[in-house]
Amino acid sequence: MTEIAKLGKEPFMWLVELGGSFKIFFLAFVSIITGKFSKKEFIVQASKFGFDTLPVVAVVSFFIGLALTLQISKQLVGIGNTSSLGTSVAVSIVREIGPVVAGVMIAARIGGAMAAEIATMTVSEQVDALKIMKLNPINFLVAPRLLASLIMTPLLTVFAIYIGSVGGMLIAIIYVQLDPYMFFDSFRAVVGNRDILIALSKAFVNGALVATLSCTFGMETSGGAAGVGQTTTKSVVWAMLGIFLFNFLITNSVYSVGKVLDPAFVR
Amino acid sequence: MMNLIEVINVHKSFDGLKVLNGVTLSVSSGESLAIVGPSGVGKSTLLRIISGLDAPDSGVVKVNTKRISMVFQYSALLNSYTVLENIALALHDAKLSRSEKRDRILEKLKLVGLEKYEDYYPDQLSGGQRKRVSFARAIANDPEVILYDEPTSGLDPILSTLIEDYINKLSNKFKVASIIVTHQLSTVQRTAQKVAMLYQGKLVWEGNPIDFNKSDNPYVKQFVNAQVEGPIFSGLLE
Repeated sequence: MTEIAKLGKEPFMWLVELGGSFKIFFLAFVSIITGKFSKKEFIVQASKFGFDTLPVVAVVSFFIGLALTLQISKQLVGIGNTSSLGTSVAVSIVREIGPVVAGVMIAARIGGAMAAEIATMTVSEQVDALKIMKLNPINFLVAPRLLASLIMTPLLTVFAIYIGSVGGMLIAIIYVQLDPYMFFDSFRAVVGNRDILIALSKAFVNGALVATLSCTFGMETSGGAAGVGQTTTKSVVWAMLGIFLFNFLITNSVYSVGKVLDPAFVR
Repeated sequence: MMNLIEVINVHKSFDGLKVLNGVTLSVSSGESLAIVGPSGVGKSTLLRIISGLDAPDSGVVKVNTKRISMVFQYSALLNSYTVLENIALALHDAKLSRSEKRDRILEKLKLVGLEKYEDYYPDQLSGGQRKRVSFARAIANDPEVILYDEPTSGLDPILSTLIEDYINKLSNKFKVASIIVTHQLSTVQRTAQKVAMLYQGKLVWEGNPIDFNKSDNPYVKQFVNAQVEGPIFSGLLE
Protein backbone atom coordinates (compact mmCIF):
# COMPACT_ATOMS: atom_id res chain seq x y z
CA MET A 1 0.00 0.00 0.00
CA THR A 2 1.33 3.45 -0.89
CA GLU A 3 1.85 6.07 1.79
CA ILE A 4 -0.93 8.21 0.27
CA ALA A 5 -3.34 5.26 0.32
CA LYS A 6 -2.41 4.63 3.97
CA LEU A 7 -3.08 8.30 4.78
CA GLY A 8 -6.46 8.09 3.10
CA LYS A 9 -7.36 4.94 5.03
CA GLU A 10 -6.25 6.19 8.46
CA PRO A 11 -9.21 8.52 9.28
CA PHE A 12 -11.66 5.66 8.69
CA MET A 13 -9.84 3.03 10.74
CA TRP A 14 -12.02 3.79 13.75
CA LEU A 15 -15.02 2.67 11.70
CA VAL A 16 -13.30 -0.65 11.00
CA GLU A 17 -12.47 -1.00 14.71
CA LEU A 18 -16.04 -0.16 15.66
CA GLY A 19 -17.27 -2.85 13.26
CA GLY A 20 -14.84 -5.34 14.83
CA SER A 21 -16.12 -4.44 18.31
CA PHE A 22 -19.75 -5.00 17.27
CA LYS A 23 -18.83 -8.38 15.82
CA ILE A 24 -17.03 -9.45 19.00
CA PHE A 25 -19.92 -8.18 21.17
CA PHE A 26 -22.38 -10.17 19.09
CA LEU A 27 -20.29 -13.37 19.20
CA ALA A 28 -19.74 -13.02 22.96
CA PHE A 29 -23.45 -12.38 23.51
CA VAL A 30 -24.30 -15.55 21.57
CA SER A 31 -21.74 -17.42 23.68
CA ILE A 32 -23.46 -16.17 26.87
CA ILE A 33 -26.93 -17.08 25.61
CA THR A 34 -25.83 -20.55 24.55
CA GLY A 35 -23.87 -21.08 27.79
CA LYS A 36 -20.62 -21.92 25.99
CA PHE A 37 -18.52 -19.46 27.97
CA SER A 38 -15.99 -20.40 30.67
CA LYS A 39 -17.81 -20.35 34.02
CA LYS A 40 -14.59 -20.33 36.00
CA GLU A 41 -13.37 -17.22 34.19
CA PHE A 42 -16.74 -15.56 34.80
CA ILE A 43 -16.48 -16.07 38.57
CA VAL A 44 -12.89 -14.76 38.60
CA GLN A 45 -13.85 -11.68 36.58
CA ALA A 46 -17.03 -10.94 38.56
CA SER A 47 -15.13 -11.05 41.86
CA LYS A 48 -12.45 -8.77 40.40
CA PHE A 49 -15.17 -6.24 39.62
CA GLY A 50 -16.39 -6.25 43.20
CA PHE A 51 -13.09 -6.21 45.05
CA ASP A 52 -11.26 -3.85 42.71
CA THR A 53 -13.99 -1.32 42.02
CA LEU A 54 -16.26 -1.16 45.05
CA PRO A 55 -13.95 0.96 47.28
CA VAL A 56 -13.04 3.43 44.56
CA VAL A 57 -16.66 3.81 43.40
CA ALA A 58 -17.71 4.38 47.03
CA VAL A 59 -15.11 7.09 47.69
CA VAL A 60 -15.64 8.94 44.39
CA SER A 61 -19.46 8.78 44.59
CA PHE A 62 -19.44 10.01 48.18
CA PHE A 63 -17.30 13.05 47.40
CA ILE A 64 -19.22 13.86 44.22
CA GLY A 65 -22.43 13.63 46.26
CA LEU A 66 -20.95 16.07 48.79
CA ALA A 67 -19.70 18.56 46.19
CA LEU A 68 -22.82 18.42 44.03
CA THR A 69 -25.19 18.97 46.95
CA LEU A 70 -23.02 21.80 48.24
CA GLN A 71 -23.19 23.56 44.85
CA ILE A 72 -26.94 23.07 44.47
CA SER A 73 -27.65 24.14 48.06
CA LYS A 74 -25.68 27.39 47.51
CA GLN A 75 -28.03 28.28 44.65
CA LEU A 76 -31.18 27.19 46.48
CA VAL A 77 -30.28 28.99 49.73
CA GLY A 78 -29.83 32.15 47.63
CA ILE A 79 -33.43 31.97 46.38
CA GLY A 80 -34.77 30.59 49.66
CA ASN A 81 -35.95 27.29 48.25
CA THR A 82 -33.98 24.68 50.20
CA SER A 83 -37.02 22.39 50.35
CA SER A 84 -36.37 21.26 46.76
CA LEU A 85 -32.74 20.33 47.50
CA GLY A 86 -33.60 16.63 47.71
CA THR A 87 -35.37 16.79 44.32
CA SER A 88 -32.42 18.42 42.56
CA VAL A 89 -29.87 16.06 44.11
CA ALA A 90 -32.03 13.02 43.33
CA VAL A 91 -32.44 13.88 39.65
CA SER A 92 -28.71 14.61 39.25
CA ILE A 93 -27.43 11.57 41.10
CA VAL A 94 -29.91 8.92 40.06
CA ARG A 95 -30.32 9.88 36.42
CA GLU A 96 -26.82 11.15 35.56
CA ILE A 97 -24.03 11.19 38.12
CA GLY A 98 -24.47 7.64 39.48
CA PRO A 99 -24.34 5.80 36.14
CA VAL A 100 -21.58 8.03 34.74
CA VAL A 101 -19.34 7.89 37.83
CA ALA A 102 -19.69 4.12 38.14
CA GLY A 103 -19.11 3.71 34.38
CA VAL A 104 -16.02 5.93 34.34
CA MET A 105 -14.56 4.22 37.40
CA ILE A 106 -15.16 0.78 35.88
CA ALA A 107 -13.62 1.90 32.58
CA ALA A 108 -10.53 3.21 34.36
CA ARG A 109 -10.14 0.51 36.99
CA ILE A 110 -11.42 -2.65 35.31
CA GLY A 111 -11.44 -1.76 31.60
CA GLY A 112 -7.78 -0.71 31.66
CA ALA A 113 -6.73 -3.84 33.55
CA MET A 114 -8.85 -6.04 31.28
CA ALA A 115 -7.35 -4.52 28.12
CA ALA A 116 -3.79 -4.79 29.50
CA GLU A 117 -4.32 -8.43 30.53
CA ILE A 118 -5.73 -9.54 27.17
CA ALA A 119 -3.17 -7.47 25.25
CA THR A 120 -0.35 -9.14 27.21
CA MET A 121 -1.92 -12.53 26.52
CA THR A 122 -2.04 -11.65 22.82
CA VAL A 123 1.55 -10.46 22.45
CA SER A 124 2.90 -13.36 24.53
CA GLU A 125 1.05 -15.87 22.32
CA GLN A 126 -1.25 -17.08 25.12
CA VAL A 127 -4.28 -16.37 22.94
CA ASP A 128 -2.63 -18.36 20.13
CA ALA A 129 -2.04 -21.20 22.59
CA LEU A 130 -5.77 -21.21 23.40
CA LYS A 131 -6.60 -21.41 19.69
CA ILE A 132 -4.16 -24.32 19.22
CA MET A 133 -5.91 -26.11 22.10
CA LYS A 134 -9.21 -25.48 20.26
CA LEU A 135 -10.43 -23.12 22.97
CA ASN A 136 -12.36 -20.28 21.37
CA PRO A 137 -11.00 -16.96 22.80
CA ILE A 138 -14.50 -15.48 22.55
CA ASN A 139 -15.92 -18.21 24.83
CA PHE A 140 -12.88 -18.32 27.07
CA LEU A 141 -11.89 -14.66 27.39
CA VAL A 142 -14.51 -12.25 26.05
CA ALA A 143 -17.88 -13.76 27.02
CA PRO A 144 -17.03 -14.26 30.75
CA ARG A 145 -15.75 -10.68 30.98
CA LEU A 146 -18.79 -9.31 29.14
CA LEU A 147 -21.21 -11.21 31.37
CA ALA A 148 -19.36 -10.12 34.53
CA SER A 149 -19.47 -6.54 33.30
CA LEU A 150 -23.18 -6.70 32.37
CA ILE A 151 -24.07 -7.97 35.84
CA MET A 152 -21.63 -6.05 38.01
CA THR A 153 -21.85 -2.59 36.38
CA PRO A 154 -25.58 -2.15 37.22
CA LEU A 155 -24.91 -3.36 40.79
CA LEU A 156 -22.03 -0.93 41.19
CA THR A 157 -24.18 1.84 39.69
CA VAL A 158 -26.91 1.26 42.29
CA PHE A 159 -24.18 1.31 44.95
CA ALA A 160 -22.77 4.58 43.52
CA ILE A 161 -26.27 6.16 43.60
CA TYR A 162 -26.77 5.06 47.21
CA ILE A 163 -23.39 6.34 48.44
CA GLY A 164 -23.71 9.59 46.45
CA SER A 165 -27.14 10.17 47.99
CA VAL A 166 -25.76 9.57 51.48
CA GLY A 167 -23.07 12.18 50.77
CA GLY A 168 -25.76 14.58 49.55
CA MET A 169 -27.87 14.00 52.63
CA LEU A 170 -24.91 14.70 54.94
CA ILE A 171 -24.41 18.12 53.31
CA ALA A 172 -28.15 18.80 53.49
CA ILE A 173 -28.18 18.04 57.22
CA ILE A 174 -24.86 19.57 58.29
CA TYR A 175 -24.46 22.53 55.92
CA VAL A 176 -28.03 23.52 55.03
CA GLN A 177 -29.41 22.22 58.38
CA LEU A 178 -32.26 20.65 56.51
CA ASP A 179 -34.48 18.15 58.25
CA PRO A 180 -33.43 14.69 56.97
CA TYR A 181 -37.09 13.71 56.53
CA MET A 182 -37.71 16.76 54.36
CA PHE A 183 -34.64 15.92 52.27
CA PHE A 184 -35.77 12.34 51.76
CA ASP A 185 -39.38 13.29 51.12
CA SER A 186 -38.39 15.55 48.25
CA PHE A 187 -35.85 12.93 47.12
CA ARG A 188 -38.48 10.18 47.04
CA ALA A 189 -41.08 12.42 45.42
CA VAL A 190 -39.09 12.61 42.23
CA VAL A 191 -37.33 9.22 42.07
CA GLY A 192 -39.47 6.41 40.80
CA ASN A 193 -38.98 3.00 39.31
CA ARG A 194 -38.55 4.57 35.90
CA ASP A 195 -35.52 6.55 37.09
CA ILE A 196 -33.93 3.42 38.46
CA LEU A 197 -34.70 1.68 35.17
CA ILE A 198 -33.04 4.50 33.20
CA ALA A 199 -29.99 4.35 35.48
CA LEU A 200 -29.79 0.58 35.08
CA SER A 201 -30.14 0.74 31.30
CA LYS A 202 -27.29 3.26 31.20
CA ALA A 203 -25.25 0.96 33.46
CA PHE A 204 -26.00 -2.00 31.20
CA VAL A 205 -24.74 -0.09 28.15
CA ASN A 206 -21.67 1.10 30.09
CA GLY A 207 -20.86 -2.46 31.12
CA ALA A 208 -21.17 -3.69 27.54
CA LEU A 209 -18.98 -0.84 26.26
CA VAL A 210 -16.17 -1.35 28.77
CA ALA A 211 -15.89 -5.13 28.35
CA THR A 212 -16.33 -5.17 24.56
CA LEU A 213 -13.84 -2.40 23.80
CA SER A 214 -11.24 -3.69 26.27
CA CYS A 215 -11.41 -7.23 24.91
CA THR A 216 -11.50 -6.19 21.24
CA PHE A 217 -8.54 -3.83 21.51
CA GLY A 218 -6.69 -6.33 23.71
CA MET A 219 -7.00 -9.09 21.13
CA GLU A 220 -5.87 -6.79 18.30
CA THR A 221 -2.67 -5.77 20.11
CA SER A 222 0.72 -6.09 18.48
CA GLY A 223 4.10 -4.57 19.14
CA GLY A 224 5.13 -5.93 22.55
CA ALA A 225 5.15 -3.84 25.73
CA ALA A 226 4.59 -0.56 23.86
CA GLY A 227 1.55 -2.07 22.15
CA VAL A 228 0.12 -3.17 25.51
CA GLY A 229 0.48 0.38 26.86
CA GLN A 230 -1.20 1.89 23.79
CA THR A 231 -4.05 -0.61 23.99
CA THR A 232 -4.67 0.16 27.66
CA THR A 233 -4.86 3.90 27.04
CA LYS A 234 -6.96 3.48 23.92
CA SER A 235 -9.51 1.19 25.56
CA VAL A 236 -9.98 3.53 28.56
CA VAL A 237 -10.32 6.63 26.33
CA TRP A 238 -12.76 4.97 23.92
CA ALA A 239 -14.82 3.47 26.74
CA MET A 240 -15.10 6.84 28.49
CA LEU A 241 -16.09 8.57 25.24
CA GLY A 242 -18.70 5.87 24.68
CA ILE A 243 -20.04 6.22 28.23
CA PHE A 244 -20.52 10.00 27.89
CA LEU A 245 -21.98 9.68 24.39
CA PHE A 246 -24.48 6.95 25.28
CA ASN A 247 -25.36 8.70 28.55
CA PHE A 248 -26.40 11.73 26.54
CA LEU A 249 -28.19 9.66 23.89
CA ILE A 250 -30.18 7.69 26.47
CA THR A 251 -31.11 10.84 28.43
CA ASN A 252 -32.15 12.55 25.22
CA SER A 253 -34.18 9.55 24.06
CA VAL A 254 -35.89 9.26 27.44
CA TYR A 255 -36.94 12.92 27.34
CA SER A 256 -38.01 12.72 23.69
CA VAL A 257 -40.15 9.65 24.35
CA GLY A 258 -41.30 10.97 27.76
CA LYS A 259 -42.52 14.22 26.20
CA VAL A 260 -45.02 12.22 24.17
CA LEU A 261 -45.93 9.41 26.57
CA ASP A 262 -45.75 11.02 30.01
CA PRO A 263 -45.29 14.82 30.18
CA ALA A 264 -45.30 14.68 34.00
CA PHE A 265 -42.14 12.56 34.00
CA VAL A 266 -40.24 15.12 31.90
CA ARG A 267 -41.19 17.94 34.25
CA MET B 1 4.65 -43.58 4.76
CA MET B 2 1.69 -41.21 4.98
CA ASN B 3 2.45 -37.52 5.05
CA LEU B 4 0.92 -35.95 8.15
CA ILE B 5 1.74 -32.42 7.02
CA GLU B 6 1.97 -31.23 3.44
CA VAL B 7 2.81 -27.64 2.53
CA ILE B 8 2.47 -26.96 -1.17
CA ASN B 9 3.64 -23.74 -2.83
CA VAL B 10 2.69 -21.48 0.07
CA HIS B 11 2.96 -17.70 -0.29
CA LYS B 12 2.50 -15.10 2.42
CA SER B 13 3.03 -11.33 2.52
CA PHE B 14 2.67 -8.75 5.27
CA ASP B 15 2.02 -5.13 4.17
CA GLY B 16 3.43 -5.85 0.73
CA LEU B 17 6.54 -7.57 2.12
CA LYS B 18 6.90 -11.10 0.78
CA VAL B 19 7.69 -13.40 3.70
CA LEU B 20 7.04 -16.81 2.14
CA ASN B 21 7.54 -17.25 -1.56
CA GLY B 22 6.43 -20.68 -2.73
CA VAL B 23 7.43 -23.00 0.13
CA THR B 24 6.79 -26.73 -0.35
CA LEU B 25 7.60 -29.40 2.25
CA SER B 26 6.17 -32.47 3.93
CA VAL B 27 6.49 -34.38 7.19
CA SER B 28 5.46 -37.99 7.73
CA SER B 29 4.53 -39.87 10.90
CA GLY B 30 7.31 -39.97 13.50
CA GLU B 31 9.61 -37.79 11.38
CA SER B 32 11.31 -34.68 12.71
CA LEU B 33 12.01 -31.77 10.42
CA ALA B 34 14.11 -28.80 11.49
CA ILE B 35 13.40 -25.53 9.68
CA VAL B 36 16.47 -23.33 9.98
CA GLY B 37 17.55 -19.96 8.75
CA PRO B 38 18.57 -16.55 10.02
CA SER B 39 16.13 -14.43 12.02
CA GLY B 40 13.26 -12.83 10.13
CA VAL B 41 13.18 -15.16 7.12
CA GLY B 42 9.65 -16.46 7.76
CA LYS B 43 10.29 -19.60 9.84
CA SER B 44 7.76 -18.73 12.53
CA THR B 45 5.28 -17.50 9.90
CA LEU B 46 5.51 -20.90 8.19
CA LEU B 47 4.89 -22.62 11.54
CA ARG B 48 1.87 -20.39 12.26
CA ILE B 49 0.45 -21.23 8.81
CA ILE B 50 0.92 -24.97 9.41
CA SER B 51 -0.74 -24.67 12.83
CA GLY B 52 -3.71 -22.83 11.31
CA LEU B 53 -3.12 -19.64 13.31
CA ASP B 54 -2.50 -17.72 10.08
CA ALA B 55 -3.83 -18.37 6.59
CA PRO B 56 -1.57 -18.41 3.52
CA ASP B 57 -2.17 -15.86 0.75
CA SER B 58 -1.98 -18.74 -1.72
CA GLY B 59 -0.92 -22.37 -1.73
CA VAL B 60 -2.18 -25.40 0.14
CA VAL B 61 -1.52 -26.71 3.65
CA LYS B 62 -2.80 -30.21 4.32
CA VAL B 63 -2.81 -31.37 7.93
CA ASN B 64 -3.90 -34.99 7.93
CA THR B 65 -4.50 -35.23 11.66
CA LYS B 66 -6.57 -33.44 14.26
CA ARG B 67 -4.06 -34.19 17.01
CA ILE B 68 -1.64 -31.32 16.49
CA SER B 69 -0.11 -29.14 19.18
CA MET B 70 2.52 -26.49 19.53
CA VAL B 71 5.30 -25.48 21.92
CA PHE B 72 5.66 -21.71 21.84
CA GLN B 73 8.92 -19.78 22.02
CA TYR B 74 8.06 -18.13 25.35
CA SER B 75 5.97 -21.05 26.66
CA ALA B 76 2.65 -19.11 26.41
CA LEU B 77 1.33 -20.40 29.74
CA LEU B 78 -1.66 -18.57 31.22
CA ASN B 79 -0.33 -16.65 34.21
CA SER B 80 -3.55 -16.75 36.23
CA TYR B 81 -3.72 -20.56 36.02
CA THR B 82 -1.67 -23.11 37.93
CA VAL B 83 0.53 -25.64 36.13
CA LEU B 84 -2.21 -28.26 36.52
CA GLU B 85 -4.92 -25.91 35.25
CA ASN B 86 -2.77 -24.85 32.30
CA ILE B 87 -2.35 -28.43 31.18
CA ALA B 88 -6.02 -29.19 31.92
CA LEU B 89 -6.97 -26.58 29.31
CA ALA B 90 -5.53 -28.87 26.63
CA LEU B 91 -7.87 -31.61 27.87
CA HIS B 92 -11.03 -29.47 27.91
CA ASP B 93 -12.79 -31.58 25.28
CA ALA B 94 -11.28 -34.94 26.27
CA LYS B 95 -13.87 -37.49 27.35
CA LEU B 96 -12.23 -38.17 30.69
CA SER B 97 -13.45 -37.92 34.27
CA ARG B 98 -11.92 -35.31 36.58
CA SER B 99 -9.66 -37.90 38.23
CA GLU B 100 -8.63 -39.39 34.88
CA LYS B 101 -7.69 -35.92 33.66
CA ARG B 102 -5.66 -35.32 36.80
CA ASP B 103 -3.87 -38.67 36.40
CA ARG B 104 -3.09 -37.85 32.77
CA ILE B 105 -1.72 -34.43 33.71
CA LEU B 106 0.47 -35.85 36.48
CA GLU B 107 1.74 -38.52 34.09
CA LYS B 108 2.79 -35.85 31.59
CA LEU B 109 4.31 -33.71 34.32
CA LYS B 110 6.31 -36.73 35.49
CA LEU B 111 7.58 -37.16 31.95
CA VAL B 112 9.12 -33.68 32.11
CA GLY B 113 10.24 -34.07 35.73
CA LEU B 114 7.81 -31.55 37.23
CA GLU B 115 5.25 -33.74 38.99
CA LYS B 116 5.70 -31.79 42.25
CA TYR B 117 4.90 -28.43 40.63
CA GLU B 118 1.23 -28.97 39.79
CA ASP B 119 0.02 -26.17 42.10
CA TYR B 120 2.65 -23.63 41.08
CA TYR B 121 1.80 -20.59 38.98
CA PRO B 122 3.96 -19.85 35.89
CA ASP B 123 5.45 -16.79 37.63
CA GLN B 124 6.88 -19.07 40.32
CA LEU B 125 8.78 -21.18 37.78
CA SER B 126 12.10 -20.65 36.01
CA GLY B 127 12.24 -20.20 32.22
CA GLY B 128 13.31 -23.81 31.73
CA GLN B 129 10.55 -25.13 34.00
CA ARG B 130 7.95 -23.06 32.12
CA LYS B 131 9.22 -24.52 28.87
CA ARG B 132 8.89 -28.03 30.29
CA VAL B 133 5.33 -27.30 31.44
CA SER B 134 4.52 -26.11 27.92
CA PHE B 135 5.90 -29.48 26.71
CA ALA B 136 3.64 -31.31 29.13
CA ARG B 137 0.69 -29.22 27.89
CA ALA B 138 1.59 -29.94 24.26
CA ILE B 139 1.68 -33.71 24.82
CA ALA B 140 -1.39 -33.86 27.09
CA ASN B 141 -3.65 -34.89 24.22
CA ASP B 142 -1.18 -37.45 22.84
CA PRO B 143 -0.64 -35.50 19.60
CA GLU B 144 0.59 -36.95 16.34
CA VAL B 145 2.39 -33.74 15.39
CA ILE B 146 4.11 -31.17 17.58
CA LEU B 147 5.25 -27.83 16.21
CA TYR B 148 8.16 -26.29 18.11
CA ASP B 149 8.90 -22.57 17.79
CA GLU B 150 12.50 -22.00 18.91
CA PRO B 151 12.30 -24.63 21.67
CA THR B 152 15.82 -24.03 22.98
CA SER B 153 16.32 -20.30 22.44
CA GLY B 154 17.32 -18.41 25.57
CA LEU B 155 18.13 -21.59 27.49
CA ASP B 156 21.55 -22.57 28.85
CA PRO B 157 23.36 -25.45 27.06
CA ILE B 158 22.41 -28.05 29.68
CA LEU B 159 18.75 -27.14 29.62
CA SER B 160 18.85 -27.03 25.82
CA THR B 161 20.12 -30.61 25.83
CA LEU B 162 17.37 -31.61 28.26
CA ILE B 163 14.71 -30.09 25.96
CA GLU B 164 16.29 -31.76 22.93
CA ASP B 165 16.13 -35.08 24.81
CA TYR B 166 12.40 -34.54 25.40
CA ILE B 167 11.86 -33.89 21.69
CA ASN B 168 13.75 -37.09 20.86
CA LYS B 169 11.88 -39.08 23.50
CA LEU B 170 8.53 -37.98 22.04
CA SER B 171 9.71 -38.73 18.53
CA ASN B 172 11.22 -42.15 19.28
CA LYS B 173 8.96 -43.46 22.02
CA PHE B 174 5.60 -42.07 20.95
CA LYS B 175 6.24 -41.71 17.19
CA VAL B 176 5.28 -38.04 17.30
CA ALA B 177 6.17 -36.06 14.16
CA SER B 178 7.99 -32.80 14.89
CA ILE B 179 8.54 -29.58 13.02
CA ILE B 180 11.20 -27.63 14.85
CA VAL B 181 11.86 -24.01 13.97
CA THR B 182 15.28 -23.12 15.28
CA HIS B 183 18.52 -21.38 14.50
CA GLN B 184 20.52 -23.37 17.01
CA LEU B 185 22.74 -25.88 15.24
CA SER B 186 22.99 -28.15 18.30
CA THR B 187 19.20 -28.55 18.25
CA VAL B 188 19.31 -29.39 14.54
CA GLN B 189 22.02 -32.00 15.02
CA ARG B 190 20.48 -33.63 18.07
CA THR B 191 16.80 -33.72 17.08
CA ALA B 192 16.23 -33.58 13.32
CA GLN B 193 16.06 -36.31 10.72
CA LYS B 194 15.46 -33.78 7.96
CA VAL B 195 16.63 -30.15 7.65
CA ALA B 196 15.16 -27.41 5.47
CA MET B 197 16.85 -24.03 5.24
CA LEU B 198 14.63 -21.03 4.61
CA TYR B 199 15.94 -17.79 3.21
CA GLN B 200 14.04 -14.86 1.68
CA GLY B 201 10.83 -16.85 1.75
CA LYS B 202 12.18 -19.84 -0.16
CA LEU B 203 13.67 -23.19 0.80
CA VAL B 204 17.28 -22.88 -0.34
CA TRP B 205 18.39 -26.33 0.91
CA GLU B 206 16.86 -29.62 2.07
CA GLY B 207 18.56 -32.79 3.28
CA ASN B 208 19.70 -34.66 6.37
CA PRO B 209 21.64 -33.14 9.29
CA ILE B 210 24.95 -34.82 8.34
CA ASP B 211 24.86 -33.41 4.80
CA PHE B 212 23.72 -30.07 6.24
CA ASN B 213 27.01 -29.76 8.12
CA LYS B 214 29.11 -30.61 5.04
CA SER B 215 27.07 -28.82 2.39
CA ASP B 216 28.72 -26.59 -0.21
CA ASN B 217 25.53 -24.58 -0.62
CA PRO B 218 26.70 -20.98 0.01
CA TYR B 219 23.71 -20.19 2.27
CA VAL B 220 24.12 -23.33 4.36
CA LYS B 221 27.90 -22.96 4.51
CA GLN B 222 27.66 -19.38 5.75
CA PHE B 223 24.97 -20.30 8.31
CA VAL B 224 26.75 -23.39 9.65
CA ASN B 225 30.13 -21.64 9.88
CA ALA B 226 28.55 -18.46 11.29
CA GLN B 227 30.40 -16.32 8.75
CA VAL B 228 29.68 -12.65 8.32
CA GLU B 229 30.73 -12.71 4.65
CA GLY B 230 28.34 -14.47 2.29
CA PRO B 231 25.03 -14.31 0.46
CA ILE B 232 22.96 -14.12 3.66
CA PHE B 233 24.71 -11.10 5.07
CA SER B 234 24.63 -9.17 1.78
CA GLY B 235 20.96 -10.12 1.48
CA LEU B 236 20.28 -8.80 4.96
CA LEU B 237 22.08 -5.53 4.14
CA GLU B 238 19.87 -5.10 1.08
